Amino acid sequence: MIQRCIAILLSAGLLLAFCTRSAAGPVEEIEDARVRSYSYDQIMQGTPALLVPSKILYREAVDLIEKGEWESARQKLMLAADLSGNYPDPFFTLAKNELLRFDPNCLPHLIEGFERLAQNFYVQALVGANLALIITIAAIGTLFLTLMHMTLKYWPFIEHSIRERYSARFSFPPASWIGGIFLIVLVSMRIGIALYIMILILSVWVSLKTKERVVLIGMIVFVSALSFFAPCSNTLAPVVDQGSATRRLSLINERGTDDELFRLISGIEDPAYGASRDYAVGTLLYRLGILNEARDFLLSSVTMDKDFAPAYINLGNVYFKQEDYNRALAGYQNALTIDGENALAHYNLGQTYIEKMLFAESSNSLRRANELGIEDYKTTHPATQFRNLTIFEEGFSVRNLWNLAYIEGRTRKGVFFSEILGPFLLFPFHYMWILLVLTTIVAITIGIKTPKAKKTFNCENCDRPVCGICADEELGASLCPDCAGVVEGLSSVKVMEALLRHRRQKILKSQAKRARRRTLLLPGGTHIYQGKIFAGTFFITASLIAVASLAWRGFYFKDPSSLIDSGSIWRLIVPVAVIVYSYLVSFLQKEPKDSRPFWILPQELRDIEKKEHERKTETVPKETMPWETADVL
Amino acid sequence: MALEGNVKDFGLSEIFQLIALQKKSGMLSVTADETIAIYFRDGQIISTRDRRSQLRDPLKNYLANYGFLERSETERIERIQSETKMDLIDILIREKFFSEDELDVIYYDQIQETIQEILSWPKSYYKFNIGTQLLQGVQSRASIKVEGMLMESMRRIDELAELFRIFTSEKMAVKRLEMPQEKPPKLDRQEEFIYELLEQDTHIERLIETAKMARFCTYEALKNLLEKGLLEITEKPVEEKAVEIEPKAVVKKKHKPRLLPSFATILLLVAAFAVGEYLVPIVLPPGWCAASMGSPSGTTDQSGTLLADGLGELNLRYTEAVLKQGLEEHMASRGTYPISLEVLAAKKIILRRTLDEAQHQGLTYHTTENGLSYSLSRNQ
Ligand SMILES: [Zn+2]
Ligand SMILES: [Zn+2]
Repeated sequence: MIQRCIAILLSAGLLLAFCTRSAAGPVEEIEDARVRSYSYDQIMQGTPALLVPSKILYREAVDLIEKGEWESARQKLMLAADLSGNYPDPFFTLAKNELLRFDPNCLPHLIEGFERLAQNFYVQALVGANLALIITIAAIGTLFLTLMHMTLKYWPFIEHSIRERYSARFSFPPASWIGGIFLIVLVSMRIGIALYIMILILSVWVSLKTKERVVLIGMIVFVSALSFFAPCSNTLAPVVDQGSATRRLSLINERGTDDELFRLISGIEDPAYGASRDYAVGTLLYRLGILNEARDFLLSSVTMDKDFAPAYINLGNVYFKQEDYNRALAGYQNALTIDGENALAHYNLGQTYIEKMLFAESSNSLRRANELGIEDYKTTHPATQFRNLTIFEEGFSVRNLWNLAYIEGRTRKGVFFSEILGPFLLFPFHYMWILLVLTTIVAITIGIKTPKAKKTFNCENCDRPVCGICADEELGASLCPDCAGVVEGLSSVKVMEALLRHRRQKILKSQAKRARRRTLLLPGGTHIYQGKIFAGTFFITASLIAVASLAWRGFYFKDPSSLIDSGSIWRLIVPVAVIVYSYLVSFLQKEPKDSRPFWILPQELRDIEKKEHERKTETVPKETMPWETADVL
Repeated sequence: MALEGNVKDFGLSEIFQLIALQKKSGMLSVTADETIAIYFRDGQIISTRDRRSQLRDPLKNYLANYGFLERSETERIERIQSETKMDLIDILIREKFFSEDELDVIYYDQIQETIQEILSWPKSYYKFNIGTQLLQGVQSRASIKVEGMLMESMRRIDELAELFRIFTSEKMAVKRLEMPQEKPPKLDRQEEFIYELLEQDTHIERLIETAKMARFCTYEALKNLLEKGLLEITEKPVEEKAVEIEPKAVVKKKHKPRLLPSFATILLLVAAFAVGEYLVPIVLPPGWCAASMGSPSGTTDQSGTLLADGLGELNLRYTEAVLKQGLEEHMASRGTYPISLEVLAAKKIILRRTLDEAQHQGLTYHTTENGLSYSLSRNQ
């Protein structure tokens, strides 16, 4: 069958050579004769949009902008936009340059760009895929880096509990080496981010404050949800896969009938896409005017899928061209029973009524077509205007294509995002939620089950880590052995307070210096260290996205027809600026004022001493000073 | 207004009397080998301790020299002082070294001794600054009349010369005699205390250090005891006994194993390295190790499924699509397909990077002679 189709196609090519060219406004504006003639050829092949000429014009315009010839560049960009129909890039370039020149047109152009983005399945899908991937990566990365910073922050705590257990038994290697040894062991195992995340959660959970726990749980839940829904990413795979059935079929929305496209689509043999394939082939043949063959394919399509409205429309078109208006009518009406809101069906129906001299019905249908936005169709399919068409053909709607992508995605063996993230996680991403949930449960259990004596907390004076084993609670406050040593044997609360405060200032000063160095490792670290967990995670996420976009030179999934890849300087400047800004904010982040209460020891102790003091001063009246009665006088 | 001069020209006691008579307030500093500041309020002595704590603190010396505080206590107080900037008196009371009453007596005695010391300096320079503002921050526990203080000081200076004739050296040793059974002589409080102390210590030096009274008072008590026949002087100063330094109790370290944990650590490191190097790559599916990231993996030939199975295949198809787009663009603008992919890169239709990628992925490009059709194939 395929060979026959190709034969038909070739003969059709000969036919095309003798076709008359109709008036085609914008195409006449193309200066280059070769590109113009290429465009006419494309139009004759029934392309809905002139993507390649548009791209050439677009590229010329970008060169002109670089040379500073804005006015002619602007005209070329407008033309490129007109020719392509649903290619949004020319509008974005227009808007950007107009913005730089304070031209108020930038806003409408920007909006139009976004409208095209919303209508263009391929661009939409690419943006969606990129967005999904960057969100996933940012979520995992933020979780990992936040955990790393939390571990750094609470490292003294973790180390203290290791020391407490370890140094009781062994003297060599020294307890201070333990941290380094653990680090080397973990890094040299290279077990992947997923397991590192697990280890970090388990080791840091007990030390975390409630707010930090809440944020951490939030992040874990988010990543788990992403992981749980990761199999959905398979729907995105056919979109970014240039050879997938979905992508091949979607090409009939972008290109005219040519050998290669015909071969690509006829090569789809999987019966799952049979209806769509036959519809596509029928449409391609219809574009060339090979009506009988087109009709066979379209009929085959509607037999396979009785609810496929576009096939009925194009089938109607074939009958219309064959002047079999009753059948054409039936085709359009079938389409309308399936999808009553289809503007194209209404429009073509109206045209058929005209042919049948049923003017009342015709005007009814045409009005309805107008209401439903037939003009939108004309702007998104600019090439159809270059030919004087009475009826319009349907392509694949965005919904059809998403549906196809979904069906095709399900046939994928692996999980798309798991494959992309695999080398980093070294763990199937779509099972990561199990790992995370289990880890969290274990962590919470450890947190609850750990007896208070083994929990590590801050010395209430100097913030150094202490645990139930080594803390000194004698004075009503938990003090580390060093702080307790400073006030050992003293009885005056005032003296003890003064000594403790002195020690606190000394320790905190030296600690702040060390912390500063440690937290400048990554942007956001300072914030996490100071307990500003939201700001911290924000900066980590922002710089992660920036780094990713730098590494990928833009987006991970690229559009092969996109020019943007050719290196706008902003692709470099913006991420670098984000990273620099994040670092700067981290660097300039001031140590918060010590908000802790001035008094360290409990109020009651002070009260007792105060009373004692008052009593004494009362009972020693000035008159009976000892020297006045002393016998030396 | 300042009053100053050398003690030779004008006796220090006269200065004291002058200040007292005129009820002046201010600071009198007396300098010989060292400087001592004496504060007056309305003609009465209130302190001999420098309010800015720059000079030697006579009170601290008094406490340390006469056994009120042990050396470890002195050290601790000094540490507390340096860290908290609290006044010595404050610390003494708050830390309950002395009761307030005790401290009042000590304070008085200390001033007495300090004045006595100053007055006994043969040569000195004095300066009196008038003004109540100088008294700010002065911690005082007494207000002492100058007259009595001077009289007592003079008496002590006079008697001390006599005492030194009896007790020629501080290295001298004395011996306590038994209290007679009949008609025991009456002892005052100080004499009784020294008598008690003599039970253990026989060196005058040591007695002074522990007597908790001014040096003069110790000597005086000794003289009284001698007169009452309760003391005899062992002529020769006894040989200084080498103070036995107690050997510090060597804390016996528990013998903790060293070899085993070291060995375990090394084993752990080696094991971790082995896991990272060999085990992890074996466990993981092919193409997942970080080294092979991005390069094509699990390439399936095109005839298989339509959907790319591996990311490598996906990348390859992407490159193909870019090249085809570029070729089509070339066709549209030049009318033919280019002779080689190099042309596309040179005309900046595709990026040099894409071209490299295509070569890396093994894509080969051929064009027909007339340039109207081309083939893009994978050589694998
Ligand atoms: Zn502490
Ligand atoms: Zn501890």
